[in-house]
Amino acid sequence: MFEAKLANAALLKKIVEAIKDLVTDAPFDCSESAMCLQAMDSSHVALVSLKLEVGMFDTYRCDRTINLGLSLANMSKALKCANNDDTCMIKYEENDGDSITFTFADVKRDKTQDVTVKMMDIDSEHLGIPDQSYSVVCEMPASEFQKTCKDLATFSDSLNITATKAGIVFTGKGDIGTSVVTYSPSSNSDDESESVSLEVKRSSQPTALSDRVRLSLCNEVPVVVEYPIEDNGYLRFYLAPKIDDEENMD
Amino acid sequence: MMRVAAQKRNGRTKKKRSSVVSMQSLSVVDITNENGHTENAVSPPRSKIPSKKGRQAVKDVSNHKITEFFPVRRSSRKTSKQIEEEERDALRDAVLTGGNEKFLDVYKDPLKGRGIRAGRNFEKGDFVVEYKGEMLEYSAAKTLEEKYANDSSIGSYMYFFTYNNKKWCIDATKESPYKGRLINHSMLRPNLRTKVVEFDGKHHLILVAKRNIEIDEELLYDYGDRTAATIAKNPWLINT
Repeated sequence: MFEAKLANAALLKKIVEAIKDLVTDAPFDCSESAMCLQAMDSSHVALVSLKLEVGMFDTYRCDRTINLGLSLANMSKALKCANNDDTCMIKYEENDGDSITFTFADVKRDKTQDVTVKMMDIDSEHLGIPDQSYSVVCEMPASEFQKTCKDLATFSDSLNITATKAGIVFTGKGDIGTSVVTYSPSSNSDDESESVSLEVKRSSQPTALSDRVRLSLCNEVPVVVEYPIEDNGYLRFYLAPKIDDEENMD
Repeated sequence: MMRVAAQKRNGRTKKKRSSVVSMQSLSVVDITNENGHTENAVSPPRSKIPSKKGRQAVKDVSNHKITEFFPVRRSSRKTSKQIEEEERDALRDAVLTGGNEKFLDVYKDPLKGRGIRAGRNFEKGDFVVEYKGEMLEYSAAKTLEEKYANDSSIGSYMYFFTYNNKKWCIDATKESPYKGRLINHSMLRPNLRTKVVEFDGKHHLILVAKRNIEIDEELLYDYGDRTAATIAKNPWLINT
C-alpha cells in the first residue's frame, strides 16, 4: 500500500505541467524515503529526474518499494479537478487492481473529491547517473532563465551556453539572426570556461515551481537544469549536449 | 565570423563585446580538446555566405542522446509475476518434452517387480516425471477397469484423481517407454507427491519431489487407494 498526502495539490499540478510535454508516461518509484521519477523524452536527448522526499508530504506511508506507472496526460486531467489550495492524497492499494486514487480535499468547505486514474505498464529503462563534478555551477532566477530561453528559441532550436570567469553567455544562432544574452556573475562561478550546446527544450518551463534555477555545466557531459522544490526535493533536467563533429566541419 | 561579428558589434555596449570575446576564448578551448584542428574549425564560419554556412554548421553539430552519457541500468530484478511465469514455462517445457525420463533408472526388485531409482539428485519441489498414459473420464475408466480385472496378467496402472471437481483417470496399463508408470508405492515413506498441472487447456498428472532426493534412491509415492476391498487384496498399500 502507498499513501502520501500533499498539503497543496498545486505543487503536483505544477510538476506535472512542467514535464508532461517532454515525457508522456512516467514511472513513479515510491520507496520508504521518497517518491521519485525518472523518464526520458521520446528522442532520448533529455532526462527528467524528480525527487520528492518524505519531508515534503503531510503524511507518507509506503509499505514496500513500488513502481506506479501513470500517463502524465491522464494525471494532468485528474489534477485539473483540484483547486490549488486543496490537499492532495495519492493512494494506491494492491487490492484495488491497477489504478491510483487522488483525493482532493477542501478543508474549509468540507469537500472531498476522489479521482481514480488507470495505471499503465511502463517498460522503462532506468539510467544510472554517474557522480560528476561540474566545472561551472550557477544559480539564477528561474524567471530570468525562462525569458532567456524563450528569447533565444525564437532564433534557434539550439542554445549555446558559455561560462567564463567574466560571466555566462547564452547564444542562440539561427538563419534569421543571433541572440546573445550575457550575465555577469554576482557571486559564484569562479571556474574555468565551459561551453555547452543543447537543444532549447521545455526545460525552462517549471518557473512556477521554484524561484531559482541551478545550471551545472561541464564540457561534453549533459547539462543539469535543476529546480529545487521546497527544501525536500528537486526537479532536474539532464540535457544531452550537441557536440561539434570535426570531420563534418571541413 | 567571430571577427566580423565583433566588428559589427563594436559600436554597441561593452557588455555585448565582452560576450563575443568570451565565445572566442571558448571556441579555442573546445578545439584544443578535439585534436587541435584550430584553423579548420574556426575557418568555416568565416565564409562569405554566412547564412548558408550557418545552417550547415547547425546540421554539423551532431545530436547526442542522453543514454550515451548515462548507462542504462540493466536490473536483474524481476517481478514476482515474471518469476512465476518463467517457472511455469520451465515446468511446461519439462513436462511436455519429458526431459527428465533420462534421469530415471529402471531396476528389478525380486518382490515388487520393476521400480525406479533416481538417476540424479532432485530438490524438494522439483518436477520429477509425468505419470503418462491415456487421460480418461471417470465412467470410461471404470468400465475399462472391470475389463482389466478379468485378466490377471494385467497389473494395476490406473491412477484415479479429481481435478476441478471432476473425476479423472490416467490409464497407463499399456506398456510404454515412459517411466512414471513404473514408480512403486509407499504410504509410510514416499519421496514424491502427485500434482495436477494444466498447460494449453490440457491437464497432466505429474510427480514432484516431496523432499530432497539423493541419486540412486528409489522413487516412491502414495497411490492413495484406501478402499477396504483394495487393501484386503493388496496389503502393501498400507504397510510399505
